[in-house]
Amino acid sequence: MVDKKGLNKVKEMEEKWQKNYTEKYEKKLGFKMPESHTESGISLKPVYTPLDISDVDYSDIEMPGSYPYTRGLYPLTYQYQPWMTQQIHGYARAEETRERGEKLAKEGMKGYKGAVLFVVPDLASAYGYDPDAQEARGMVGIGGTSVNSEEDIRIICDGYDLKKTRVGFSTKTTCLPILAMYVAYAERLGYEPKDLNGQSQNRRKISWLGQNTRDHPPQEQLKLQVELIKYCVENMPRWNHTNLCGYVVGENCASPAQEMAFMLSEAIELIECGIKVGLNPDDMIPRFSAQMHMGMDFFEEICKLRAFRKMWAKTIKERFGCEKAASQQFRIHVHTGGINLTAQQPLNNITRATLQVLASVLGSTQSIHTSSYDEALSLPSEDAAITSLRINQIILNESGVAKLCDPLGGSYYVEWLTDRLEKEAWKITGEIEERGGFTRCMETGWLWNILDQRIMTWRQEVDSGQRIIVGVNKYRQEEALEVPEFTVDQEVVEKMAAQRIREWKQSRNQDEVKNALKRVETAARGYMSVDQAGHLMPVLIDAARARCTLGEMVGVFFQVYGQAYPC
Amino acid sequence: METAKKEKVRVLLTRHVFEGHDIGLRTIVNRCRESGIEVIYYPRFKDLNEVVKVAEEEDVGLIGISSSTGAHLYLSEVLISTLKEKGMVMPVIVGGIIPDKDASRLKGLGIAGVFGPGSSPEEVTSFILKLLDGH
Repeated sequence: MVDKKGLNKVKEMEEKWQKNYTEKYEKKLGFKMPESHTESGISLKPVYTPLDISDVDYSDIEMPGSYPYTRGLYPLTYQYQPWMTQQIHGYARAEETRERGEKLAKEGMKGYKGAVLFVVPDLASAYGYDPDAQEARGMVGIGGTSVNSEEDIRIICDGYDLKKTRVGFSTKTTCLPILAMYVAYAERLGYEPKDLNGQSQNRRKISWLGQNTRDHPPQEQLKLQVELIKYCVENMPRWNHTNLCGYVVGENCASPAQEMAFMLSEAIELIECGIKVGLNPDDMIPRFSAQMHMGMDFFEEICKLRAFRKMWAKTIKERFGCEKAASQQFRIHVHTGGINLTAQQPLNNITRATLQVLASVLGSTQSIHTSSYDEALSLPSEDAAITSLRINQIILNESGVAKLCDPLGGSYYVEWLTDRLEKEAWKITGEIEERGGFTRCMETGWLWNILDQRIMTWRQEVDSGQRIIVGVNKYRQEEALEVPEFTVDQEVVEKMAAQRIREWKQSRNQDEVKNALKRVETAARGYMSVDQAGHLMPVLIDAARARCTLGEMVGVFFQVYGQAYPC
Repeated sequence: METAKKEKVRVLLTRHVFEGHDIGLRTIVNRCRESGIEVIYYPRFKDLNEVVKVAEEEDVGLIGISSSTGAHLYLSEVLISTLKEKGMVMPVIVGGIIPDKDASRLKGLGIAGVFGPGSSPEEVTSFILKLLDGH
């Protein structure tokens, strides 16, 4: 970006700096620069100049709103509309969860246009058990909310305009049944699937890998992902069918470069499957959503968002030949790191989240979930959840950073690191592909081993003090301020939720239920390979119309597809 | 003269199959193994009977349960009573995200040791060794 003559001048300046540095620090003070690197292992110098980005072409950076979208997806960023604050929430029963959602909305949580209902199911629901099941004992109402029937969905969504409200359930193994129940619920109110606005997580493989829990073997998981994509692309054009999730990988100590590579590799595989089942890439690709992790390496995290948009645009254009802008534009939702939160001196977590939200904004994200300061202790209290919103509101309204698009664009360091990080992530993406692609690398345990190694290294670094975490291995405080810990009366919630699902089950036509589940089983058995997708979602929606519960539908899947654990 | 080689300390470290967090537990598993403790790592029990069964079959000297989602009281209560029913005497330790106010309740239930996010892996391993090996 600087001409040859200019670069020679810079070179002279840099040599002078080098001389000054050596004279003062190495010779006089005997100081030797310690080696430093980013979280992804990229070695750093103390200062960057135009020389470091002399081979970077401005067309690879471009203006905001132009391919490859390094500086942002649209000509304006937050000047036209602020980022969405989408806080996932959920505890106890649907009633309590609805109340929390309303409270957060009142305090400023919002999407671009309407309300946001992003709900986390409790542990029993998350793994497909109804609250009256023996397996659900002790697991109802904690870690999220009990949502197992259309009735629970009704309580959460009642009265909202479903055309305007963004609805999402943070599901893993239960994505298909929960979508079927939501469609059936909306239908009863007179909506059609094409009206509905929101998202499915549909990222079960990543959750399975990152959370080491039960699902089907990876190939079966892939089939179910493709089934959901096909249904949504053909019937729900406003629905984000798949949430590409770097968050869970980041929570397993993955580096930013690894996170990018994992996300892109999974997307490539899903797009190829989608094409195989006859979907038009330009219908399917714009409806990927994302949940990226936001860690503590401030500049590398900013560069991660910039570089990932670029990698996405290039992949979609060059590999899949898509020219449609919406396909090339990768919309980012950030979830600030849970792994960075400490139970010690919990108020320090507000500072951590602030840095993470700021990095997300400087990286031009579309949307943020901000973790709460008490999350290393419990589910967020109302006060902590509101404080999370306030972090966003202060950055938006008081700091001035939202006045510009990509304010760090052109920084020698940021442009150099964006470029380096992209190269690093391409390298890992290439390696996953060489090893047979994302699903194959899950089957072989290769991805698991990468994360396992990172987790162990992280712990060693914390224990040795090489990685400093304030309040944990430095600046410890014996008499630290305590914050109230949010709790749920689990036993009471479980009893009420179990009672509700029993009543729901009694209210149905039992023959209809039986037949509907039989049809689900037949369709599931008939779905032998990805290219046969398209027959399961319709019968699941029929089952939801017959008032089948989440547990009943998921139960059929486990019967048919079996179970597997990553380790 | 060398005394007869002592039997290795053997423990069961486990978590509920719905528990989506296991970085802490895996760290403890590794550290225990590094400290010479033999670990049966079982990250997927569906109910507490299963835990007791594995503990019995594997002949462990201690059970450690990890919970980071608020199920610690329920799990501890049922595990202790299941052990009693079977007439098994075995120390149980609990780790994870355990609110301070619950630590004393857990000890009241008969839990031998409670380790929260502030505990270091070494605290856990030395607790186990002290309890089972008299170190």
